[in-house]
Amino acid sequence: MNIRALEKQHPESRTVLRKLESLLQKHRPGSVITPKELARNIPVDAKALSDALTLLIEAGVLRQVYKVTTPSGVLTEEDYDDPRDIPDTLPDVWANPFDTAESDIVPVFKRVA
Amino acid sequence: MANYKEVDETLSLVKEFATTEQIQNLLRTRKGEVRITGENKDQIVDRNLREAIDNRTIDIDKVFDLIRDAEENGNQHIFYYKAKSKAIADALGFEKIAPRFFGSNWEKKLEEDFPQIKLKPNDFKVSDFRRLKTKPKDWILKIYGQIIVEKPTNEQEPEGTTSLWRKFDYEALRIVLMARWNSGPDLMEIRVQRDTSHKRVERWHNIVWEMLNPHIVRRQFDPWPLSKIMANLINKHAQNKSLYNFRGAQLGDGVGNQATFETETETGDLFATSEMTSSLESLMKKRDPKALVVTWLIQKGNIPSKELRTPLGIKQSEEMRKFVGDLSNEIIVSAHCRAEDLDYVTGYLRSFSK
Repeated sequence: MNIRALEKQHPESRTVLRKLESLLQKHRPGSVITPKELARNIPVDAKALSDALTLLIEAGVLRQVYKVTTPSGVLTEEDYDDPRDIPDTLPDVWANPFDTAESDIVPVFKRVA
Repeated sequence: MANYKEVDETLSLVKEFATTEQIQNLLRTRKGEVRITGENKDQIVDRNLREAIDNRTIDIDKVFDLIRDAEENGNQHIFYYKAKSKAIADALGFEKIAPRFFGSNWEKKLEEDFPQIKLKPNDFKVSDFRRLKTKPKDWILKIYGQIIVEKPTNEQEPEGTTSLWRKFDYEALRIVLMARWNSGPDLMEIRVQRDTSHKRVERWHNIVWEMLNPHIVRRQFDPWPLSKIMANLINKHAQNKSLYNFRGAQLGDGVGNQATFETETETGDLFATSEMTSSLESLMKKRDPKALVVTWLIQKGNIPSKELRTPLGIKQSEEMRKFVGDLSNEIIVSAHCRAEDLDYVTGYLRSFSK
């Protein structure tokens, strides 16, 4: 991932991009970064974080997808580009089906490269 | 198989089970002779692949291999059974078992009759039986089934002030079941596609045994319990961090209390912090885990071809436990994968059983 090039094009996001780069280095490609993890590790204002994340999505470093919280409160393995594609039932961590209408939908970021 | 008559149904299965990338990879094997790209999956199958089959540039057997790869590996439950003796295992080699299933003329029968694509409405039938190219003693017997299920629609109509009519549509459900004899570890794997009902999965598992009967019977096998394997996976996790990690664990304290641990996302690791590690290890001193969700990480040589998540020790019904005992012999492979990936997982489970 060429974050240096992004920093040059968007110097206003340099600090947040550096923090995101350091967080991304702890994640292997395909792994998921949740809003909670972002909030824990990058305590900056929401607008600055959102701008930097948008830059990384546009650069193909991250992909935004949607997951569903299981009855125990963690996120499903399945993810969706569009929340309207989420089926009525999904399996939880132990493969037991649950009703997605009763659950929250959470936007998360997947490391692409 | 070059004169195979059911090309329409074969192509429809390719569309249903194979990804566009898998289909194009097959077409690329004859690059320059066939069209590879298309506007969408329908065009790639209905135009490119059909042309390639019609003019015999691509052998129909390769198309069957594509369906086999797509529908036989992953997104399924696997019930493991171990042959009770070496003599039983020896009698299950392909050359020995094929005549028992298909008579003395078995080679001709297998060549002419299989694979079959058509379903038998509301019934189950053997659709394929073949040896594995890489392990000649091993074989796969595949069963196709079709049942009609009732699916609720969004159409509803009130009747008076106290009742509501809801319309249900009948839907034909295609079912793929398999018995896979894995020589060496001498394991019979009963593979059943995933479903929202575990009772249905168990019924389908029983159907596989019924279809194997009388040539192969369940009493020739012991269920292969996964409890010791799960304990070893946890106890040896520190030496095997590059091989696997855990998404979930269920453990008990020996007096009936049970704890469930889960990572926030599927790519997390239960042993990421010292607090979780010490909790898990302290419970492990009391009892073996009841269930685990293992993520098998990609190794050099791209095996497995992608991270593979396998819940192990799936909870089974009272009725099932009458046959397999209290220790589960069942895993789930969450996503579609390659045949080699499944063998990789079974191979490691075996190595952690010692």
